[in-house]
Amino acid sequence: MSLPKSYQQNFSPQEINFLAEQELVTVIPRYSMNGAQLIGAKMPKLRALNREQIPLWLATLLKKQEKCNIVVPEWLSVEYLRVRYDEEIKYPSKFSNLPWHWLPIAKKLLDYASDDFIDPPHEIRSLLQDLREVRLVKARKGIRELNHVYIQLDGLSLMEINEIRPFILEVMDQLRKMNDSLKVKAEEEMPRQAAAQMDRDEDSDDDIYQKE
Amino acid sequence: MSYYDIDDILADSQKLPCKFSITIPGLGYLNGEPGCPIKENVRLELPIWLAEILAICSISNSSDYEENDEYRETTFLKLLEPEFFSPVFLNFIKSDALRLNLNPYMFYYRIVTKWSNMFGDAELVELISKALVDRASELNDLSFKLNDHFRGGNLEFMNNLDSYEKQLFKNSHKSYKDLKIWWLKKPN
Repeated sequence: MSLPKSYQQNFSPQEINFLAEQELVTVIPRYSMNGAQLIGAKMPKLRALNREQIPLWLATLLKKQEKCNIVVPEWLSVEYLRVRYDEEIKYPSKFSNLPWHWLPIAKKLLDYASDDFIDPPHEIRSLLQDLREVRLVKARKGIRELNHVYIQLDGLSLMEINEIRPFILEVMDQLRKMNDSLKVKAEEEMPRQAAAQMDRDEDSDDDIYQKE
Repeated sequence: MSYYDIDDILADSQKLPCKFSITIPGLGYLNGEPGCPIKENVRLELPIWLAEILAICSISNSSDYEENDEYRETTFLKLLEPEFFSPVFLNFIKSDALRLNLNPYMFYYRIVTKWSNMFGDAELVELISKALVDRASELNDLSFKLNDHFRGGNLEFMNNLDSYEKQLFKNSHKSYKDLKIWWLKKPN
């Protein structure tokens, strides 16, 4: 393959951003517009001031042309994020529950629709930053517990998983290779043990026949 | 461990100490004495690919077999314990894996894998796995903090990585950097 190795196993942040843009958000159109059938998504017929759900990329496009306002999702409020932040502090071994694409969606909305936020955007931005740092520290702490068979990443979002993926994959792979090498030796010895087992089985059969 | 893996080929050419168990005529060029036989009990360092096959291939002496009516088997050579698997070295790992210098061995973890392929040493694998996790988490911290490389013992640690760890550092660092760049990018 001609792709660099790091992109074969891993997404780039831009690719995840693209995936996140397919998520639906609620918009309030300012004008009425005819719907359109697009590849993959369908833009419904928009009537002024009637709420509709459209993909995020379309919403930011319309927002840029000032044809709609975006209804900021409820998890992007100071109150909600603060509760999550407190949860992160309270439970050091657990990740709080945030949307699968919380980082890219939050960034996109802050970048293009900061005037639609009810709470001040700079506060949200700093809360997001705090959340991200606290979660990253936890994820990296988890690396000390790595083993060759199992890893649990409950509650992490795709972007965060992707960030530590190259590292974790490689370490786990190396651990697996070292542990598998033990199996090779064990398997070589297996047939001999199996043969010994067979002999014993035959003996026991003989016993039964003799009794009869 | 694939056929086209350059690192694997290089790891295969790392040398292991071994001792010949029989005298072989004409093999003296391995010891720098072309034309002479290689003597029994001569100690040599041979690349892994050669040492492995010579240590595994068994030769039987057919005359012995007939006379003594017992099956005597021997191999060309015996592998000796290399310096980096010696008890002293392993104790060093146990005490502080972070100060361990793996740079001279280049492909330490691969060699461990090959070694345990031959001998199935579970204790060794467990010890090295633990050392790898310890070192890797330190490595991960350093790959995240951009400016910490040259502080305190970090510089020494960075110089003591083997080639796999260097690659790991590079990939991990790139991943953190990519995300940071994306997060800080202003909309156009």
